[in-house]
Amino acid sequence: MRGDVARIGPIVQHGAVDGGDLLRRARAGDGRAFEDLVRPEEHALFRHVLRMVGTEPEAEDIVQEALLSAWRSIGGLQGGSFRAWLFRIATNRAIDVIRARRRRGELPLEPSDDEEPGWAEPVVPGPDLPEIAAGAEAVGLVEEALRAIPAEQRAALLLRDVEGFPYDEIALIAAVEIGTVKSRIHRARLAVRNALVARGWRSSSG
Amino acid sequence: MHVDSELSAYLDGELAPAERATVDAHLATCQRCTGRLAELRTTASLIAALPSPRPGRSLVPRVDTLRRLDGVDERGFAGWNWLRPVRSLSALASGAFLFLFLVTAVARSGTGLGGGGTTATTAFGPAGAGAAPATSAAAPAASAAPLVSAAPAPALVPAPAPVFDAASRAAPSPPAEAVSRTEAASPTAVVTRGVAGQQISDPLTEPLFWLALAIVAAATAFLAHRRLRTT
Repeated sequence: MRGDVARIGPIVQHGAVDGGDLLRRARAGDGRAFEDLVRPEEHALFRHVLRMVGTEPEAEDIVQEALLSAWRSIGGLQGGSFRAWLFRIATNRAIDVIRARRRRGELPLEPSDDEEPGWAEPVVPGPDLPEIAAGAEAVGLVEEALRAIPAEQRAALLLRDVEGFPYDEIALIAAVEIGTVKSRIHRARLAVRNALVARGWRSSSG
Repeated sequence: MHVDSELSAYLDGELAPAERATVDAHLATCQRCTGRLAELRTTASLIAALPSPRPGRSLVPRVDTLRRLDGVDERGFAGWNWLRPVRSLSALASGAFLFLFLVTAVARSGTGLGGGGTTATTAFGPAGAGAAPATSAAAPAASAAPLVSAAPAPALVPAPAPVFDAASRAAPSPPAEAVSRTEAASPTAVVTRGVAGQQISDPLTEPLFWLALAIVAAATAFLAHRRLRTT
């Protein structure tokens, strides 16, 4: 398993949580402080892992194990974003589960992402964007498209668009360079956009 | 040149100022890229607007009753937990005590101190005549001499010899003589007083003493191990 304990180096803190004191106490071994520190992130961690692995029971287990792992290793946490550190542990676990599934043949192999993906062109005229966006159909299309892209790309896109992490924190979460983050996010977004276009969506300016 | 691959980073505000200016300039003149930027923006907002389900149960572990793993995490955070050295030392001590138990037990059985003196007699050979009375009955200080002279003889039973030597050297003295005269009845009593050469029975030569220590140390190590495992 990838090292899921982060030595996240000093990076820009995003939003000083009131957990300055909580973090200090949690690192000193105060279990209640740790619980108060992670509880605000529980919902976000769950929805992120759910979009990564797809099923609720599995997502619940992964998040719970990730938080337990975080508690065990919080003593070694150096400076940096605590939130990014939690997401790193959870994302790594989710990706490990996905890879294990793939090895067992439960998932199709992920498409190779060597080539630069192209921009799909609308083939048939379809409803305008606002109509799709307002309907449940768009949600289904987006979810389906997300499931189809490689796990690393999906993680980067979710961390950016759903969780709002900046590129540099995503780089630390995924343990890759920023250039890789930029590339993954672009490809992932393009893939979702292409899926919408394939279903007939056309931009109003197209 | 089109700026397709930069559009996402541009949208996310992650381009350096110079790169951003380049894209701005291009967008001002390119309908296609402007349209594509809009598509990416809409895609991003659709993703951001996805339903956000909550977990069906609490996922925060109840850690207030858990200790961190021995204060040492998987990555070697150096907390200090006193149970680990206790466990190790107790295990080592138990082994040492067990060894001493075996040594003293062999010493006792080898010289028949715990029971009859016949073994001692045969082991000691010619000097056994002098040694036997010393071990089985009250004996004057002269018992110290046979013991000393008997020391070289029992090459067959080397283990008891140091015990005798040390004891006889320790106090081949009037106190031992006096005590051994008065306490004639029990061979065991003679043994503990004559051999040890001390006033009071010496627990250091008592096998059961070492066995008891070994058991206590082993129990300590076992309990420490159990405690470490459950945290």
